[in-house]
Amino acid sequence: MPLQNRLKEFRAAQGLNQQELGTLVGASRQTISLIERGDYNPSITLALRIAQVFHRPVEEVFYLVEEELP
Amino acid sequence: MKEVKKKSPARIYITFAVVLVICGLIGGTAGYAAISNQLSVQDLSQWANQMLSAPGPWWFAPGLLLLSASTWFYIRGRRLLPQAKEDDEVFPRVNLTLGRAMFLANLSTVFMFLAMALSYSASWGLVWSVLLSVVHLVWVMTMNARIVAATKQISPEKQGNVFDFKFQQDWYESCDEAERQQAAQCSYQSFKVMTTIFPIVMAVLALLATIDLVAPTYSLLVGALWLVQQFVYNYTALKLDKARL
Repeated sequence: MPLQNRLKEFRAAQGLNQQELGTLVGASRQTISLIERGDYNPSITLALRIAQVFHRPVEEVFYLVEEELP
Repeated sequence: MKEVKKKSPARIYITFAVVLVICGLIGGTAGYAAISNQLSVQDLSQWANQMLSAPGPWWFAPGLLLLSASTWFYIRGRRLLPQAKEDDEVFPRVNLTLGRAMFLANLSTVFMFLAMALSYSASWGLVWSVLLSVVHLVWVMTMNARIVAATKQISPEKQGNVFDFKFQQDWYESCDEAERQQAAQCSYQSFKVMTTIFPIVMAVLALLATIDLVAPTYSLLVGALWLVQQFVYNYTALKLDKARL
C-alpha cells in the first residue's frame, strides 16, 4: 500500500516554504521536496516531527492508500 | 519495499556453472590461439605500451571535454540559483543540474590521472603533458569548489570545505536521513559493481601472467585493492552488528 501525504497542502496553509519546514523539522529542503512528490517515505521520527509542526495527528498528514488491482 | 522475484536454487547453480564453463572456454581459446599463432608475448606487450603512450598529451582531451561539459552544467545551474532559492518547483531541477556537473567533474578527475600515467611515458610532448596536468588540476579543483558553494546556496545546512581532508565526513554528517539513505544506495551499487569487476580482472590478469604478458605485480595490485574493499565492507558490517548487541 503506497504512502501518501498532504504535506504540500498543510505547508501552504501555514505559509511555510520547503526550506523553512525543513529547518523546523531538522530535514533538508531536498527531503521535504522528495516527500511531497511521494519519492521518499520518511522515518516515524520525521513524520511525527512534521505532524507536530502542523499541530495535527500524524495519520492526517500521512496515510496509506489501497492499490487498485489490475 | 520492492518485491524480489525468488529464483530456484537449481537455476542459480546452473547459471553459475554455465558462466564458469564459458569463461574457461574463452580462456582456453585465447591461450590456444596465442600458442598456435606463435605470438611473441613480449612483442605484444611492447606494442601495446607503445600504442598507449603514442597519443602523448592528447590523452588529456577526454578529461578536459568532460570538464567542459561539467562547467556548462554548472553555469546552467548557477543561472537558476536565484529562482531556486525562491521557487520550490525550480529547486529540484537546479539540484539535479549541479549533481550532473559534479558527476562529470569527478569522472574527469579519473581521466586526468589516467592521462598523467599514459602521457608521461610518451616519447614526446612532456612539457605539454605537465602544462595540461596543471591546467586540468586547477580547473577541476575550482569546479569542485564552485559546485559545492552553489549547492550550499540552495541547501544552507550543508557543511564542509572541499579543500579540507575531512570534507566527505563533514558533508555526510550534515545530511539528513533521506540523503544518507541515498548515499547508502549509491555505495551499495558501487560495491555490487566492483565485487563483479574485481574477480573478472583478477582472472584475466592471472591468465595474462601465465603467458608472461603482464607482470604478476598487476595481480597483486588489483588483489590488494579488492582486499581493501572487502575488508572495509565486512569490518564495517561487523562493527555495526556489534554496536547493536
